Amino acid sequence: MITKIQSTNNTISFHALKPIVLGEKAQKFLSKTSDFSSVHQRIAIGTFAFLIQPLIDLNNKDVDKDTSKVSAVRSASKAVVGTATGIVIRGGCMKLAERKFAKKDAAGNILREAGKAIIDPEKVKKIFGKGFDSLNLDQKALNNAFNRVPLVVGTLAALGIMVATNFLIDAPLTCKLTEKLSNIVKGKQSGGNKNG
Amino acid sequence: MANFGQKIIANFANDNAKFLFISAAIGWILASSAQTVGIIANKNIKKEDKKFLVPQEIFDGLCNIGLYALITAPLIKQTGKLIDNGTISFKNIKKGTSEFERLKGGAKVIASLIGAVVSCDIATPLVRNKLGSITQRKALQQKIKITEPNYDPNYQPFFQKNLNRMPLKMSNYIAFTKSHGLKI
Repeated sequence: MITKIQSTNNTISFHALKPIVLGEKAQKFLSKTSDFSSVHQRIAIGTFAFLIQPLIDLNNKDVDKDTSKVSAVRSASKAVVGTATGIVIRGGCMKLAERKFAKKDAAGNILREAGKAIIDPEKVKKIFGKGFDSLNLDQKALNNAFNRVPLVVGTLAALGIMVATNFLIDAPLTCKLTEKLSNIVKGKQSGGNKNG
Repeated sequence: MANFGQKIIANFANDNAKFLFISAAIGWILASSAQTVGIIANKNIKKEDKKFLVPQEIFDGLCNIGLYALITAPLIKQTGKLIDNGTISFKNIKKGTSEFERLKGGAKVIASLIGAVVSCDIATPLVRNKLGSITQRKALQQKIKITEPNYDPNYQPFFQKNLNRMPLKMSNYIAFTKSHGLKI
């Protein structure tokens, strides 16, 4: 896409980039991603962490083979445990926040549209309304922002909870999984040596 | 007048990419502290492994946040600029409309995810492994300096200056020759 890069005084001018016009499909995708939550982010980072980090650790030539194996196993365990607990706690907190701000029917059930909870702007305004006043958003942008309030509140609450769960759940679980996986790796290794 | 909490929530809800960026950074600080304490407290991890894993974990956290900020923040900013100056545009969507802002927000979120994956899953492990091994080497060198030669006079009577206090006996000599530490 880069046709020509003009470089002056160690700065790169991006005006040289060929203009890109995004069509409907890309727009639909971006419209969805604008509402991505920290759960989506955790899934993306966690998946790549599980796939890439152990390989990087295994190829670390600055340490001996045994340490690099322990390190790789630990990276994989950390990715699995961190992602799982991160998703559960963030997701749970977001659901609770959604319950707080969503429109409900007479029976107290959350009203949904295309699977998504309908957020009640009045409930959001009642608590955070003054914060939005200074942003000068038009009605559509304001509604989009209101819809994201449960995601923000849920994530912030999850971060608070994770101060405790990181110590109580993540760290011990990662250690246990690392031990189990290390034993499996060692078992395979000794089995391989016997055969060899 | 809006209070601090209201302003924070409103700003984060309006700029999702910025929110994801900041919340991820806070999350890593918490996670890294917990994992470091977890390794130190775990009695089943060998001391030799801890020497590498503890600095690795600390550098992991520092690198995560540092590289994340270094790579992701400019990526988000640059994506916004490319959309604002028209290098990236949206078909049939006019600039300045709420739909335009929503799509721009979506593009910035994608930029933040790419930045997070590149910085945290690729750049961080490479840098932290390098820094962690340097620290491990230094720690080992320091240990070698601190450790003083240790010998048992009963097994090495030849090193005693005062022979009256520790006379040379046949039992001592035999024990000395059987010593595993004997190197000729």
